[in-house]
Amino acid sequence: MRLFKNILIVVVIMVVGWNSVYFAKLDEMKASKALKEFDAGKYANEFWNNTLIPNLDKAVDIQELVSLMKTDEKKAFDNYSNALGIGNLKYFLVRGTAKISYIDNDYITLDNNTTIATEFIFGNAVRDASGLIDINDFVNTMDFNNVSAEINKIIRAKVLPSFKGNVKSGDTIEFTGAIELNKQHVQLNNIEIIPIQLKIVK
Amino acid sequence: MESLLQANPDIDAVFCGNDAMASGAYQALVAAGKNKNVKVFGFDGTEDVVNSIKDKTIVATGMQFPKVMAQTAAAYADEFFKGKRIFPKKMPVAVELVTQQNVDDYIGYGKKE
Repeated sequence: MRLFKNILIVVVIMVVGWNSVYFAKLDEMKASKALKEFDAGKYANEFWNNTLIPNLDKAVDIQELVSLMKTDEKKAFDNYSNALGIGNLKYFLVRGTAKISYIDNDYITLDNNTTIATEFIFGNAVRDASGLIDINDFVNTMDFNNVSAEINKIIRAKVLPSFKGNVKSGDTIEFTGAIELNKQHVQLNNIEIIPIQLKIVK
Repeated sequence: MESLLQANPDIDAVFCGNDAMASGAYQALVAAGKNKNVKVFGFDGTEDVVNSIKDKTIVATGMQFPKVMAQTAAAYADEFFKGKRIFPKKMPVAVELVTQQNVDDYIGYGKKE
């Protein structure tokens, strides 16, 4: 009986030991770990193609938004702005058609009192303006912030180069983009648009 | 800051992790006679640095809103004690850039009411 018990213990230890230890190539382990890590670039691309672009028809005409801001600021923010969490910074998806007054290294200035950023594409305006990404879906805030950085990279790589290469002062353009307004101190002069889609009409 | 200046005598700007560091960096630049050439940026929005932005000695700071954070935390605690159990795991508080253009809208750690 004792012998049987000892054999049983040895068998149990061998089974546990065998299942506790395994060998794998280090590079394979590293590759599988990398797969599990959040890929902000992939997420941003999918968001851009599958969520943001199909929802651009929700963008408000910028002239309509500015007019509403002047008459009923609260309604303008309630109806059209999105933001994460709390604070005064609110984001809007906007669209419009305007004539280019002049072009410099950093901005394209339009005749409707707005500018389109062409050099410094930073911040969270595009990520947050749609209201379609929730920070609580992300395990850590760094991943969430990297999505913004990757979205901005898409704008720098795909939206701006061909447009900047062809556009000239006096052209009429159609634009869709994101803007940021401070709810407590609304500044409607020189609104900066981070572009999402740009098209030269003539 | 002194050793940073010795190692990098041609820097254009210093971005500091908080406003106390920004004030210190500015003082070091004054001592080195470089305060006119090097731009200093802080982070937090302390009263000292808001005043320095008005005086055009510090260029800008990132305004955090500790009072808003504290009020929100207290309001959530109150809701919790009253039985609410579902809260967002994360609640970002927008940080605003205070520059010489908009500094008149701000006071230390917040907006002018």
